[in-house]
Amino acid sequence: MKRIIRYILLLPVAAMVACSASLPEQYTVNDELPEIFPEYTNVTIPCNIAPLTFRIDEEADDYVTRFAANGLELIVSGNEVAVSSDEWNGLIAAAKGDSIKVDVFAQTNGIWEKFKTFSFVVSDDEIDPYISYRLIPPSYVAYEKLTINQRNLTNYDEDVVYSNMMIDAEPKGQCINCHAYKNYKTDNMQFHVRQTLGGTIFVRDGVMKKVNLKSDSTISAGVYPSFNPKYDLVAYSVNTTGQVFHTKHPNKVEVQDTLSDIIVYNPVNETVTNVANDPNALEVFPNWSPDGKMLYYCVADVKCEDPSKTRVHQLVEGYKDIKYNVVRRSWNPETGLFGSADTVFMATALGKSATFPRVSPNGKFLLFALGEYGCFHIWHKDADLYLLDIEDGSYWPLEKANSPFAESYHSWSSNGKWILFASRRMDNNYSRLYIAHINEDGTSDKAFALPQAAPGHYDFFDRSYNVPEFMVEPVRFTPQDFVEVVTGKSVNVKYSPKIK
Amino acid sequence: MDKTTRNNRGTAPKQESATVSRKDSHLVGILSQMQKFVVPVFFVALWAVLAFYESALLQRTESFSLFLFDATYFDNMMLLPAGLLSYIGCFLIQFFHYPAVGAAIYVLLLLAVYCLVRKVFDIPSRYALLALLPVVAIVASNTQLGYWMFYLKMPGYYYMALLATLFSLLAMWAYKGLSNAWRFPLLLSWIAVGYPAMGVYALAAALLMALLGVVLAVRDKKGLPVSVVIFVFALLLIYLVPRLYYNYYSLVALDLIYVAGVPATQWKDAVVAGVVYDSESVWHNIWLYWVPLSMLLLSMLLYVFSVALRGRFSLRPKYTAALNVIALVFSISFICFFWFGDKNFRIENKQMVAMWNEDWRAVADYAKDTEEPTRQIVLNKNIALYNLGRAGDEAFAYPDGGVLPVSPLSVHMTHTDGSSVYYNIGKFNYSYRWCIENSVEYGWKPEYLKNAARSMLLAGEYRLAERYIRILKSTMFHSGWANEMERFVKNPELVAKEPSFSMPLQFACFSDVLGVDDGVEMHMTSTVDAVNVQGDNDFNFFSLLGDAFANGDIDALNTTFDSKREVSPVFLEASLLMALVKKDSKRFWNTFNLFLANHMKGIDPQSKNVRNPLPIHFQEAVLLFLTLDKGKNVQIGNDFLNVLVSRTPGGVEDNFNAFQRSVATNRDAIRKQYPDVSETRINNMLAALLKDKFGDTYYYYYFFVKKIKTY
Repeated sequence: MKRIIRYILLLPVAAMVACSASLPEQYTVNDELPEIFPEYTNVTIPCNIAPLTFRIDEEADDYVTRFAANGLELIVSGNEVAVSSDEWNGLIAAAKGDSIKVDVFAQTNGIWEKFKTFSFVVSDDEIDPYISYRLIPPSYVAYEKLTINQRNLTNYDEDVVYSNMMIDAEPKGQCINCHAYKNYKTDNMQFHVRQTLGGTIFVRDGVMKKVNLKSDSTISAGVYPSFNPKYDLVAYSVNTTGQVFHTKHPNKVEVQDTLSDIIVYNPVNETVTNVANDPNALEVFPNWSPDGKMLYYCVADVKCEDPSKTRVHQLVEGYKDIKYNVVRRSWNPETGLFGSADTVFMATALGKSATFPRVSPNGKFLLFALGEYGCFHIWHKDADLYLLDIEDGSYWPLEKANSPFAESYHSWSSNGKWILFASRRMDNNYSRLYIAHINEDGTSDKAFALPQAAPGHYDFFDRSYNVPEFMVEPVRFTPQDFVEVVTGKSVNVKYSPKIK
Repeated sequence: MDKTTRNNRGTAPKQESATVSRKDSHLVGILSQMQKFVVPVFFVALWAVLAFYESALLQRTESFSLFLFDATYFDNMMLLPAGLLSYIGCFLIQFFHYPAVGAAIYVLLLLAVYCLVRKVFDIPSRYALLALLPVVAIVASNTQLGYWMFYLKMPGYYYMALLATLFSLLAMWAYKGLSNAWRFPLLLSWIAVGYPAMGVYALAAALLMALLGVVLAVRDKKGLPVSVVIFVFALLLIYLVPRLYYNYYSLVALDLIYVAGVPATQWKDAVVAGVVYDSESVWHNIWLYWVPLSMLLLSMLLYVFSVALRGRFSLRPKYTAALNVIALVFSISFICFFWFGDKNFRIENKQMVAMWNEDWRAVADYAKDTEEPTRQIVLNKNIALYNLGRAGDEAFAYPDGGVLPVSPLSVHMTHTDGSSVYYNIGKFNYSYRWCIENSVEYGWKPEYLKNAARSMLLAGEYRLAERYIRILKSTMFHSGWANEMERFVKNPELVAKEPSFSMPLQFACFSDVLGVDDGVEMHMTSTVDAVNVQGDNDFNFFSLLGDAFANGDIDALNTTFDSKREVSPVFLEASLLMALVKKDSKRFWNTFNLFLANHMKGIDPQSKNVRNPLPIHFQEAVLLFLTLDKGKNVQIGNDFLNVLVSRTPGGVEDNFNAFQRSVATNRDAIRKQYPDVSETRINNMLAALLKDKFGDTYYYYYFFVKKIKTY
């Protein structure tokens, strides 16, 4: 309803301004790019993305913006630039494989000024039509309203998949996290609910259940998940996690694992099996290769040798020394056995820490976040996205996608042409979603913020976008459907020493 | 015939009393006059009390309620049942920023409730004061809140019951005037539209409307079966509409759909943290919070049923008079009882208003108005004294303690004003953290936004500060403050020149460490520990200084001072004060050397002319700890002591000696008089005896103030 009202309100306004605006006949030329928010200058966009709306942050009395693409021209007035979907689709169709040129004119005291032209490069590569993400305030301990939302990328439609407020508020509330899908589809998916009525909400072939993934032989219930694309298995990390707070550093918080292992869950037999559980190592962030026969994850060696101090105390004291490498282990579907670990990227050799390995759908690249230390790079200002060529081991930063602020929580589109990630670049606090095009050679184009109907959306929106995932179809269950399962009984897993 | 007894259906009421005596008619006249006088006085008095006596409360209420003219803000409000009440409530609460204006709006709306009650239920003048019942119930539902101000997860709560009552009365007025044929569509639309907008209030009003229909049918002996059918249908709608709303629109928990609009679960779960109270208080009872709203519903039910009695019989004027007096006394007593008048709560509010106005003297002075303060009051007082440069002279001249806030909740400073405390002592990350944590739990408030903006501004995170400034700029009454802050974001070089930022920045002289909320004392002392490189050898520092003063050796003095790394003088003063609060002489000496390195820099030992005398409490501590140490660890030469301590007649040393003599003399006297009394009792008696004369000294605190709290 809200959307309908918004469209009803927006369309005539957009049409009116589009019709009534005209370009100034005389103007001076400014060689600088205009200040616009979000920063969309010279970005590469998919040919099926929703209109990019923006606000011109140059101080002026009046504004006119011209969009031009292969003979098609659209003129919009005002400092909030929002074109209608129809007009946008026309522009994008005309510019496919080429670019939309954008000219911003600003008038002060009767004198018009034209800023340097910038482009929206329109890629031939389509993007998956849906994404989902968790909306969470950038808080540390407290949580109240958490939702997992899904968004149609071809327009602005957004729905709540599940809201923790449908159960209760704190102190009897829930944390919800780690939504994941098998092969970008939603008939096999999962997310966790913690605390009240906790468990993993698991959808297998369209049937929902709640699973208690904690067994006697594992540290915790499942945390970071990865569906095996080919087999009925899900790899999880199991973790004990804590937080401590910087009194002065802009990173503000350190989220640390004090224990973490890797397990595999078999949803058919309801069993879990330890895969990596070295007591002197922290293993986390599993990710299956596209063929389902290789499991990538991160490992940090830890030594807690001072008997006078607890493990937690020692790990907190030495937080800057905890650095993760990326390893992989082969898995034989016939025997159910894993091979030995093979280091794929030794971040420690660079004095750094690599997290969240994500293999590209073609199996060629490994996308990961690299920071100075630790595993929770979304709070690390220095964290950047890197790509590694799995075959030859070469790696490079995604320079055009990165920023001086934290980048993490990345995922590949199903065609491997786009990546979606969270970045705190807007203000070093609220993580926002960015999309970047990945070229054949593994370089990226400039990333753009998830488009919103209102150009000022990110000014007031007080929640962070977290764990974004691509989907080729929407989740069809309603939040109320999920509530029924959440409030129902859990299936308890059994521990099995071998993957059955 | 009394005009107000005419009912809206056009049936004339019976003559209520054909044989009214002259005496009775005199009483009727008095009642009528009394109503004309008492009601305005009641509302004006209420306005005056709110606007002046509780001005700080109103200002704080406003600073903990955010309203924005923004589509996202509106959408978020409307996601929950009763969202419209919250939205309008938040809009109106803004005016509490100016207490007289806000209170006037509030009281005028209450007056509207009073008038509507009389109109809708045909309450004649001689019963007029009975119409005050819903008014006092609404007022009490607000004045009882106390510390709930920080914890209620219901934006606009201050106005919700009031607005809901107003809208419901208007709906009932319309309902009463309609025929049965139109009543059903009205009821249906009221519940369908009213539930999302007003939550449980709309359901209650629907019930009252349907009941009123039945009562009118009984009274008029007309249309009873239809009214009963409508009533049953209303019950069905009351059950079904919230469930439909749950299934197709809202993301509210199923358990909450029938209490949407009142903080039912919050009240129910308030004591979940298991608070251990210092003393008993009526305010610890959770059920108390239900009383005003229950009274509101009961009074409305009473009016609905009273409609059936109208014209059936009448009370004699003397009973009517008694009823009015009872109603008035009850109303006033009810408000007084439910007025949360906790002294510490009021002081905290006044202090916080004064802190935002940078009236530091007032902040400190308010702390004197209580026998045992909360820790919030003590911390606010200390911050004020740091800003006044009087901490070392006055800190122990105020009531000390740490009584728990009176509330059924486990009230933590981090949830109330901790963010301001952290800002003022330069812990900007923690100030910001608690703005975020609290905004997550309780929603954004102007105070969180302001603390977040100024903390991140002083932490150098200008983009982040700008985000909150931008939001504040779109508020009605905080845009001025935001514009001022924006000036600093655009010109960061001005930050260091701004006097109001000076104190927090001076406090921010510590290095980054990972930590948790370990209290102010821990922060102060651990920071000093981190920079105090001399450790246990610090006692030697005083010997070196003593020699330098004895020999008039300026080079030796400066070398000794330079051996100390610099921490800001303000931080050192605060840290020194914390050592005194903890009664930790070793830490005092260790911190004192750093303090002196700053305090006495540039002094000429030959002239022995101290330009900047030591704060009095530090002089008192030097004398006390030297006496207790008996020369074992610290030796301070006479020349140096002359510099440190006022030794003139009537000075600090004189007073300390007088204190020692008084203690000895009085202790002996008490022992003689009460030979069987324990040492603890003797100490308590001594404390009482010496309080007037020495109660503002550090040595009095050291010996006689117990139960030290340092968080």
